[in-house]
Amino acid sequence: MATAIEINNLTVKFGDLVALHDVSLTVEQHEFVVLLGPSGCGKTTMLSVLANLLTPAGGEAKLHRFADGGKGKNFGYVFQQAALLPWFSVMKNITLGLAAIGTPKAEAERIAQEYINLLNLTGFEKAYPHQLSGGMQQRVGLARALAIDPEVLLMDEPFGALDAQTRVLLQEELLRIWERDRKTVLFVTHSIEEAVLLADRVVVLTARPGVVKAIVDIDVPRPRSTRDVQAAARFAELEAELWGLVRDEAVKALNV
Amino acid sequence: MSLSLDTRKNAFPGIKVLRALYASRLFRTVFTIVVLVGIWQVIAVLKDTSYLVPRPIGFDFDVPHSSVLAAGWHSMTINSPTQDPLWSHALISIRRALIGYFAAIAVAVPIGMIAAWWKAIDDTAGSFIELVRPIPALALIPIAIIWFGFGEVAKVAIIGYACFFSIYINTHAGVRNVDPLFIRVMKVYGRGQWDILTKVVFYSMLPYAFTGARYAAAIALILLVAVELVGAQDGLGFSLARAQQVLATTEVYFIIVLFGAIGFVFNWAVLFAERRVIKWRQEVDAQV
Ligand SMILES: Nc1ncnc2c1ncn2[C@@H]1O[C@H](COP(=O)(O)OP(=O)(O)OP(=O)(O)O)[C@@H](O)[C@H]1O
Ligand SMILES: [Mg+2]
Repeated sequence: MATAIEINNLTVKFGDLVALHDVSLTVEQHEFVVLLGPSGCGKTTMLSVLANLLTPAGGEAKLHRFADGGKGKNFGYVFQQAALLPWFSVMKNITLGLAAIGTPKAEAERIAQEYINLLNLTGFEKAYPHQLSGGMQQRVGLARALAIDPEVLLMDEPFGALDAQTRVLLQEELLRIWERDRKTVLFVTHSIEEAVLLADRVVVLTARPGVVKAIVDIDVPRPRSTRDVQAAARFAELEAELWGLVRDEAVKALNV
Repeated sequence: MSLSLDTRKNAFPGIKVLRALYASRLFRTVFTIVVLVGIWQVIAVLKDTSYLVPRPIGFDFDVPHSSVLAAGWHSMTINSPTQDPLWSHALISIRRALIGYFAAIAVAVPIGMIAAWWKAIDDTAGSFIELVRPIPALALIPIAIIWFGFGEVAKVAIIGYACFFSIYINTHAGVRNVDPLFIRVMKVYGRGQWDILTKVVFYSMLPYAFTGARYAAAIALILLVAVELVGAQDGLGFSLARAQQVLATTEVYFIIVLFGAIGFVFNWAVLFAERRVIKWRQEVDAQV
C-alpha cells in the first residue's frame, strides 16, 4: 500500500499559541482514519494545513497524488459547518469545485445530479441553502466534496451539528458510499461511537498543544452498521479503551 | 346587560369586513394618509388662513388658490407660474436625480469593493475619500457651478457626488464583513482571487450596497431641491421657488407633496429591486 497523507513533525502556531506540536502521522491509501481529540486541540488546524489554508511553523503536511497529476485539487473538504454559499442553489454549490478542475458546465451538472440523487436530495437542485434542513445542508456539503471525485477526503466533524437520528443516517450513507471505492479519508470527530463505527484506525490527540497520544486499530470486519456497533462486544471494548484515552484530555481541555 | 351585548354583536355586521381591511397593509397605509389629510383639512377650514395653510382638498378647479388639489390640477395642466405645465418640470427633475443616482452607484460599488479588498488602494484612494467625505456636498455647489456652469452637468455631478458616499461606505463595510469561511471554501475548491471576488465578496456585499442605495435615494432628492433652488431655469425646485415668489401658497404645498410622493416611490422602487435581486435571504416577518 502507498502512503496518501504524510505529516512529519508538524508544528502550527497562532502567534504565541501553539496549536499543534511536533505531530507525525501517515495515512495509507484507501484507509479511513479518524482524528479524535478534545475541543481546541488542533484538529481543524491539521486539516487546514493539509488543505493549504495555513502555513505551518515547522514540519510538513503532504497529500500524495496518484492519478496522472491533473490540475486542480485532489482532495475534497467537508467543513465543520455546512459552509454552503447562501446565494447559490444546491446545484451551483455542488458544481463549485468541478469548474475549477476544468469540467465543462453540462458535464459538471450531470455529475452533480448523480450525487444529488445518491444523497437523497433529488428535487432540491434549485433550492437555496436556507430552504434546506441542517442535515440536508450537510449532505450538500458532502456531495460537493464527493463530486470532484477526490483521492482524499478531509472531513471536519461533518455530522457534529446534527441531531442523533440524522447523524446515524448520514453515517450509514457515508459508509455505503465509502464502500464503493474506499477513498482515503481523514475524518475528525468528538464522538467515540462515530470513530469506532467508521474508522480503520483512530488517532487520539492530546489537549492543546495537540500531540498524537495513541493510535488504536479498529479490528472489526466491514461492512459495518450502526446496529452492529450497539450489539458487538468488540465495539464496546474499543469504546471503553478510547474513552479511557480521551477522558483525561477532555478534562485537561476544560481546565485550561 | 344582555341587551347591550346583543347591540354590540349586531351593531357592526361589517366587523368581519373591518377585520379584513385592518389585516391589509395597503389599507393601513391608505387609512393613515386619509386621516392625516383629514386633520389638515379640518385645521385649514377652521383657521381659514389659506395663504399660510391652504385646504388640501377642494373641487373648485378653476380657482388654483382655493385648494392644494386645485392648484395641482391647474399647474399640472396649464397655468403654472413658469408657463410650462408642472409635469414637464417634474420629469426634468426626476431625470436629473436618476442620472446622478445611477452614476453614483456605478462608480461607488466597484470603488468600494476594490478599496475594501486591497489594502494599498484603501490606504491611498480610500483615505482620500475619507478626507473629502465630511465636506457637505451643498458647500460644493458654487465650485460645481464655476467648473461646469449652470447646465445639467453641474447639477447631476453634485447629486452623484452626494450619493456616492453612502453607497461607497456601505459597500466597503459589506466587503469587510465577508464571512472568511466562504473564502476558505473557495480556496479549498481551487478558486482564485477573481472567483472569490465575483462569487463570494460581490454577493455578500450586495445587501449592504442596497442599504447604501436607499440612503442615497433620499440624499439624491435633497440635493436635487438644493441645486434647483440655487441655479436652475427648470425643474420642480425651480418651480417651487417661483411659486413662492408669486405667493402661490397652494402650489408651493402641492410641489412639496409631489416631492414627498416622488421620494416615497423612489424608496419603494429600491426596496422592490432589493427584494428581487436578493432572493437567497430568509426574510424575517414583522409582527402582524
Ligand atoms: N485563526 C486563528 N487564530 C488564532 N488562533 C486560532 C485560530 N484558529 C484556531 N486557533 C486556536 O488554535 C487552537 C486549535 O484550534 P482548532 O480549530 O484546530 O481546534 P479543533 O481541534 O478543531 O477544536 P474543535 O473540536 O472545537 O473544532 C485553538 O486553541 C484555537 O483557539
Ligand atoms: Mg474544529
